Amino acid sequence: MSKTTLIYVAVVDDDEHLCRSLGRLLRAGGIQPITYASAEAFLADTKHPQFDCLLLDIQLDGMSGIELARRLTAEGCHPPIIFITAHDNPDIRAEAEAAGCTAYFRKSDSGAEVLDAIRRAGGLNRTI
Amino acid sequence: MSWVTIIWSTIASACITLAGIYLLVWCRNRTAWVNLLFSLTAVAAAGFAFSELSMMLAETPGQFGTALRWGQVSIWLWTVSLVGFVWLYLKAGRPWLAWATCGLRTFALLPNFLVGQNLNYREITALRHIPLLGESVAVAEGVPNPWMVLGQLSLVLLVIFVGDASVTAWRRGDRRKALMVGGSVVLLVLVGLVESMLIFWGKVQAPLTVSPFYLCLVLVMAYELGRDVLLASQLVGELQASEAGLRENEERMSLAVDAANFGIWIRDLARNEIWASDKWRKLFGFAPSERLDLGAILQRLHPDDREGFRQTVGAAVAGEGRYEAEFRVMLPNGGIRWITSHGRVEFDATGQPVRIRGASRDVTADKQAELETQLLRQQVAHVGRVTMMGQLATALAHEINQPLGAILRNAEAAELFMQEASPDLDEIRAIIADIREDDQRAGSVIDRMRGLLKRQNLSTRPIHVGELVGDVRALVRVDAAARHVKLDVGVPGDLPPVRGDRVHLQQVLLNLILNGMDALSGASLEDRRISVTALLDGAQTVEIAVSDTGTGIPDDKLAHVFDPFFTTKPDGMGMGLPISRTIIEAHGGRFWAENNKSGGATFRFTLPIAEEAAAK
Repeated sequence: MSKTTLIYVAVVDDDEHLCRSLGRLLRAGGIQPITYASAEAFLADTKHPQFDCLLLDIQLDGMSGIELARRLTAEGCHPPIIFITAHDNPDIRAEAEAAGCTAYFRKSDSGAEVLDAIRRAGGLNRTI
Repeated sequence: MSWVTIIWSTIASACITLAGIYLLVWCRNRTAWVNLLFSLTAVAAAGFAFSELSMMLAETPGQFGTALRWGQVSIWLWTVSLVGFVWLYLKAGRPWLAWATCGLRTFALLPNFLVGQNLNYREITALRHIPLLGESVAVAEGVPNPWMVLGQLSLVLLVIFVGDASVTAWRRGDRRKALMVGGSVVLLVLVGLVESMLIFWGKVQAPLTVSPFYLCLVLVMAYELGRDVLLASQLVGELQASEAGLRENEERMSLAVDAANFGIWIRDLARNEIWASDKWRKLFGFAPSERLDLGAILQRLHPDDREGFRQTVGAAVAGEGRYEAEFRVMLPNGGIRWITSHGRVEFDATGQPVRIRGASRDVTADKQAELETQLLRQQVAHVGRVTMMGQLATALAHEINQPLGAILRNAEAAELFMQEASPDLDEIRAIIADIREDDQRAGSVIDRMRGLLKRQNLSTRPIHVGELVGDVRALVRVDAAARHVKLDVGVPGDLPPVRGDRVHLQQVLLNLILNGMDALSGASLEDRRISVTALLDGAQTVEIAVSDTGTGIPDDKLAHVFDPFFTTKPDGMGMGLPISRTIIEAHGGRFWAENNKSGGATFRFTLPIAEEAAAK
């Protein structure tokens, strides 16, 4: 695999430990993570490579993950979005799906499933 | 017709008319003797006027003498009735003077008929005619009868009697009566007496004209009597009006009492008799004619309310003077009615209670509303408890899920790294360090939560354990009944107050009791009991225990019941007991659990005694 097949993923989570551990998991799975502590920090970064997938926490300080997804959808083309949340309740899930996401995980869900979902989404993104 | 005839006839008829009027008044009211006496006086005055006219028109000395003889009878009647009138009208006078006047006058009738031609003349020798008002009238000439002094003396006595009675009446305050009646009697009788003496003793040659004076007297008397009658009728009118007013008031009162659904009653304490309105009898289920006494009423009261009612009434009779009581009445048809009763005790001059008046009202509907409110409040408390726990659980879940999530991801990453041919050990070391840090972070969340609870403003003040338990018991009463759980409370009345935050301690007790009820859900209906007891534990603390008769806590779990998230209930969150323990520890107490030998579990906690109480 050359560099062109490298999958870039943005991780947005306000919990530093979670960001770091999730980043580690992605790297261990052969995915290149770039982590942001907030939605605002993500939007402010203009020098990042093209992301194949966005991994968003829902409860963030400032703009929430769902608001960020809505905004990106409104702006037009954006990479597939996967939500990871500490709160799993039907209302939030419905809201997240309405905002446009390809997958939805709880923080206690298996990391292997999250990696599979990223790979599927990244591959999907490439074929389009 | 001549003037003399006209005037004297007029005098007589006026007197007769007045006599007739007051005779009628007396006929209507036989006890008003003063009217009859006036009537007689007026008749006598009329009679005497007739005699005077006969004398003036007499043609022979015989006619003159006869007219004067019968005139003496009129004077007798006049004197006697006037004495009676003054006696009754002024309500004064010396009896001996009255009797002396009447006796002397009566005695004077004897010489009038037995000695000479009449009381005044032993013998009338001739008639002389002199002019009067353009007419010629007869005047007698003859020998005066010395017995006539008896009659004149009686008139003097009459004047003295009336004068004396008037003075008495005047001093008493009846100044108008004394002046009008007494004064005119004295004046006019004296004038008449002087005139008759001058004529009869032969000092003056003139006809006797006393009647006009007597008419004046009769008019004055009639005027005064008429005024009294007028006043009396006014009084009667006012009395009727005030009676109508009273009736009106009574009607209004009874309307108000009926509208407010009050039954009213009066209890005679000496005779132990009770009068009560029909409404009251209906409220208490008594027949309209049934005899009422305190015993019968106490029998109607719910057994739990009797002693309290007796004490309340006892205190009111002993001096408080009034009371307000609320109790249940057991109706003969088996129904129960809530009644409030207000009573007011009346005391006699020596301070002895004489009777109690009161009003009772049916408040069953109010009571039901109150019970419903209580049920609602209980539900709200239940929801509040769930919400409090729910909020804490949500906050905790978020706080704890973060480090747990990070630990999970780190562990998964480590596993993947380890699968590589040459694992990056530095990376693995960093992961392990992070895992340890996150584990500590998760632990610190719990500590932080407990610290948060501790920091919550505990507003501690002395609390009576009995009241505290009573509050919570009221909250769970309906729930307990619905779940067939019997709640026993054993809190000694002399237990010193503890220092604590009422709301927090209520939460703790509520939580323990509701936990107990949950533990009893599998027990048989007869065996569902929770008891809350309190006792003094040493000099500084009170120990409160909540026991249930459930299955108890498995021995291997006993040590964990206070761990966060430890629960045996399918829908439990495992936070009630940790929070409760945190609250008790914040109060400076201890909290522990144990199984009962006879089955079931007991949760115990201690609270410090309020300093003020401990210092005593």
